[in-house]
Amino acid sequence: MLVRFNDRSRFPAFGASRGLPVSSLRRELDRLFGDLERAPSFAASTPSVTFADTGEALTLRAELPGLSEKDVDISVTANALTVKAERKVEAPEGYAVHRRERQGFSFTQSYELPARIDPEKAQASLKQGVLTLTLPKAAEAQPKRVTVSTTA
Amino acid sequence: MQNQSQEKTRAARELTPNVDIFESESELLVVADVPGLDPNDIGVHVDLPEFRIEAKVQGSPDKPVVYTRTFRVDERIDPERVKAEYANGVLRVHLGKSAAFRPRRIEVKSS
Repeated sequence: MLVRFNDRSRFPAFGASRGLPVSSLRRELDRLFGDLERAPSFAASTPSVTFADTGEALTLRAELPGLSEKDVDISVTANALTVKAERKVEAPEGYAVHRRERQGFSFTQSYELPARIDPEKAQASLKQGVLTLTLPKAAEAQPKRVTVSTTA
Repeated sequence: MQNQSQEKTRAARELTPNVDIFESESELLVVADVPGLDPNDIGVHVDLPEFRIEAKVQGSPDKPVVYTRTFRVDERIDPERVKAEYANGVLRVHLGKSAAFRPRRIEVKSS
């Protein structure tokens, strides 16, 4: 499923907005439509992902608690991004289960990018369960300042 | 009046982290998804019969954001035997049981 980058970036920065009714409704819808389009691989819980355009680069922030580098797979081209992440949640051995709210997921999402990027300069980091991607725009997509000259 | 409305807009937005709770013979284990925190901003408070997790999210653009969750635990927990660790955005709190509530193996002697 391709999701237009712009559709997502309209929502507030920092994915922690899960308490807002609008965003939870949107997630419900995402989940619902996701289920219809690609039933098996769209698990019940999807990580919260937010995009931003800083002018010089496109950035992505995803909350992936419990994951380390090896659980995340990212590939980029000049105009598309694919993020794969999988989380397995298992009860520790020798323990009885009282409550289970944390869900495992298997998440694969492709995004069409609104600007051409330079794939060679793309950077990703995963720190305390937060994935941050920085995709610097290609030279031709960088914002340019046009100076207005006055002719006497 | 002025002060009051200021307080209101400053009030932190509270998030409820998802948790798993497990129990073994010697402890309760609480596992919470709280990504992106500085370990110094995480507070684990044991004030029987309450046990509370509180953590501040740094760098949120507008309102401060905090993760908070309170649990009721019983007298089996020994507040001196509580340990917490934070890795990959997941907080694990081990709440050790008091010696009196941990099973003790009794040897059967033949006379």
